[in-house]
Amino acid sequence: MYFFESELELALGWRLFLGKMSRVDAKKLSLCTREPLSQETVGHSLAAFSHIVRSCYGPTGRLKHLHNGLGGYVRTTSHSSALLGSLCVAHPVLKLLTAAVQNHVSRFGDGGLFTAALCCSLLGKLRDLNMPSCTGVAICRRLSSQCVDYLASEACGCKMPVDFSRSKILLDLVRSVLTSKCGCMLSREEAGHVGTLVLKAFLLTVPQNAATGVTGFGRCFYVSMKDKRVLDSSVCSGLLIETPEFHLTRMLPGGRTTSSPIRTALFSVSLSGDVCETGEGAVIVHRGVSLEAAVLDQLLRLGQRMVKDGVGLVICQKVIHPALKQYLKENQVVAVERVGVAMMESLKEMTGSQAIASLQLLSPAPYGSLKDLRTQHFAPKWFLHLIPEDSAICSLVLCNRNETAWEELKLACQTAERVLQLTVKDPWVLLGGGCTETHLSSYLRHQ
Amino acid sequence: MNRKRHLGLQQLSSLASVAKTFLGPIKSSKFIVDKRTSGSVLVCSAVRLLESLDSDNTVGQLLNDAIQAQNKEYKTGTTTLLFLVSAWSSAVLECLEQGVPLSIIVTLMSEGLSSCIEQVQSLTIPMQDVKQKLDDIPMKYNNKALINIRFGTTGRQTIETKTSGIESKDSFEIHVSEKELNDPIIQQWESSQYPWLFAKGSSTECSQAKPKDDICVLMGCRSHLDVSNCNKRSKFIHSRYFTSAKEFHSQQLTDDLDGSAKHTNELGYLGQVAMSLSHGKGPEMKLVQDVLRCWLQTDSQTADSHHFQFNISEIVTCCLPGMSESYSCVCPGYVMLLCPEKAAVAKQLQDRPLHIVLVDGDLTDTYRHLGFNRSQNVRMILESGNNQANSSGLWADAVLDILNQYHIDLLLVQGNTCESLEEKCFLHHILIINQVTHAVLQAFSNITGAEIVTYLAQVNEHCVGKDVYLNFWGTGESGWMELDSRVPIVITAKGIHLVTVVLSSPVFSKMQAIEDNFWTCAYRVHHALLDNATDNQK
Repeated sequence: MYFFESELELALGWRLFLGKMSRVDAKKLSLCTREPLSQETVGHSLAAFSHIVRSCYGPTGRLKHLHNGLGGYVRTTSHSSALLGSLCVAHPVLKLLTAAVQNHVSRFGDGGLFTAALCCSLLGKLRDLNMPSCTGVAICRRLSSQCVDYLASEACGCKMPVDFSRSKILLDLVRSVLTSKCGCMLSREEAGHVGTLVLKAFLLTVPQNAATGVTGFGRCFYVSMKDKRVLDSSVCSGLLIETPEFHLTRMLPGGRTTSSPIRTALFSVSLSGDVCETGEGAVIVHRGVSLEAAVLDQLLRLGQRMVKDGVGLVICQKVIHPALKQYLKENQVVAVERVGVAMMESLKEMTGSQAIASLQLLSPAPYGSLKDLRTQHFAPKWFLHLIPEDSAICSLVLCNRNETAWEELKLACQTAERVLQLTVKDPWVLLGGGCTETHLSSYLRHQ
Repeated sequence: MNRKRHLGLQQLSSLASVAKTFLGPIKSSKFIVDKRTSGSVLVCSAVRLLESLDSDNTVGQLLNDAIQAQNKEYKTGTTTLLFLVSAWSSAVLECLEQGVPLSIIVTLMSEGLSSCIEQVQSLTIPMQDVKQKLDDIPMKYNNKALINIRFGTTGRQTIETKTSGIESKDSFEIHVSEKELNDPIIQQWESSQYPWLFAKGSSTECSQAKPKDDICVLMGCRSHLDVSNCNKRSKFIHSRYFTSAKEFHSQQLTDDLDGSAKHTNELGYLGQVAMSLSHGKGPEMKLVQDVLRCWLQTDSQTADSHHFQFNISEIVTCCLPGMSESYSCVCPGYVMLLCPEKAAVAKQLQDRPLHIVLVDGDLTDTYRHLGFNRSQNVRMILESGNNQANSSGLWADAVLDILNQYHIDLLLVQGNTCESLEEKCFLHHILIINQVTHAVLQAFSNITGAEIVTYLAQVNEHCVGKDVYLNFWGTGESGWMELDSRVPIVITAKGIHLVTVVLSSPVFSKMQAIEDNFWTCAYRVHHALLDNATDNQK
């Protein structure tokens, strides 16, 4: 159990709030408030916030619709990160509280609602007791340290060890995370299926040979397939990059017989043929001289060089100029554009190369390699499947009924993934269903 | 207290209750009037209704999302979905008023839903069995009665008998064989329909088959009124289980197909399947049958022996509003309307093989591909007396040089074309067609092997498609016709899979509904064939 030390301290400490009242009227004096928690308005906003958070908690929690007042997309959620991210809280105390909870979620990935509810109830209780706030802080600190000590001790009766040689407890752990969010709209069968996939994906992200000194886990990419049956979800090792169907029809060189690795060039610079930024100054060009034509020339020379070097796959983070794409296609080189910055780190790792950031290639050029390249077809979408020699990258094709249910499921899967990773670090799990909380409270009472 | 809490549910229930009038094959259309602009739209499907209503509340948005998702995937069943939403939401409201806890309602509803899905899945018929099924459902009765199938606005299907002889008025009977009694579909149908049918049959009132205001007699049944014989098979339409197969057989015999026997069989079989899925959209499903015929013919000509594929992306529609409905037809190739100036150019391109270029951007001097960033601070210096306007003229000349070099006659462009280039092309008898969808470009690229380009500067010998033909559409009968002085033409290439479904309607506001209906039919057949394929794989 990791939560609440730092968060509570933040939330409970006696502080001064410097609040700018309005953005338009900048000359207004800053306002200092003493004992902000004793104010009447704080109590109301805290109660409202607490109600929102508590009603979402648990597998039978109520869902919340998040909807912009002007219309548009409706998000249905009971996830703390989605909820807190889109709630506009005005009061400084609440701002502090939500920031603390968001911090907790970004660190541990789980337990956001619990943290928020606990903070709210502690704040409420301390307000009711009417004691000086420094005493309150001391009490809370003492209680939390007692809890943490007890949970870490051997004598703790509400935890059990995780056995990594069997999948049962790991599967149960994943499933308990997935089923705690009813916004995912999973049936029992579907929860089982997704749970297995998440565990598989997690195992694929565990580095194969720890001896090489690789620290940390690989990455799992979530491929979105909305409006599809959950049971059609699947997981595969390697990276799936979505490509428009029409590019694929004649893209892959038919029957690549050799089992040699595919030489890969990875570009982080845009190959779209635009003239690079000149910064502050202006470039003065004579009419008749075309900068664009010059850049395109350079691009085509780059293409010729790559074809000469036997590159089989060109990946660009940004856009590739149509003429260059055409040239590469005519020479049986597969070109993938717009992969985005999020994939770049993993691509570098998979291909074992550096991202090329200029249009002038060094020699020898920093090419990488891939074991294989295939096409995959999942329902309406086409994907390029990049298969690396050896790396802990996997893709989870996640299907769900609609957009909002998909977002919920993705968050739940990420939570489960994070929980599994933390379990490797600290192989203990706590009993669920309120057992741990009840146990802790009775322990505190007897102390 | 309760009422206030379930405001969303009440909104949902009232919003969805409009679906009732859209149910069944005889729908009543609705006018949606904008009070501010006093513009109005005529809608007769749930999708179009929700599209035209602006509901900015959460519930409306969610409902709209769900309906649109269904429509995007299946193009059918949206009205049923809306109706179910209305029925369920009012049922839930009632339960809540009686104090049933929410969690129990949710559990029961999801259980009910999954058992419904199970039931429906057990009722599915594999494609191979459909034909058999169509043949051996005899609906015999031993009096001289005919059956009118009527559809009320409530969507309930009722069957009424009209007795022609007094003596046999009350002796209405339906023979069902042993085999059929074991059939779950027939049994279900029996239990729901027969008792009512008997009850009606024994009463004397039913002999007056006078349509009431909200009830219409179907045309298909009316034609059977005068051919009543003993033991004649009655004709049930609007359900795949009761569609008579006989008609299709006779129809096929008259169709002159030059394909092999296999293709004839396949067409007959697919045609039957299609028509059994029409559910009251007969004319539009006929067009889908024509699409099937078209493709099977193409396949037989090109000796493609591989498995027949119903590829929905190779169908495009072309609407001819204002023409009589008899002009609706299916035409291989790409049909579109041309303005008079272009028609004059097109006239010179008729009946000879053309060279074609496919462009997936705009044909203007300033167009750049997506993701191209223009530099802000590049300044041009004029050296000689060239003026600014000349640059686009120079560009057009350069483009024209390229087109002449490869002897291009026809350009299909996804975006727009600048006027100066169009004018120059007119002079050189080059036809440019704008606003062509990507599916069409792709179809021509597939058949001619021409690569799609973004800039004309890219054009090389790989990007020129050959043996493409252009003709005026409908020249056969009455010269070419004109629509607001626009002329329809058709562009084809040998063996092209692309078909255009030409839809026409004299009533302007019905055009959209007809187009929707056609796509509904096409998607039904598409999904039926798709599901069959997956079944086979398993």
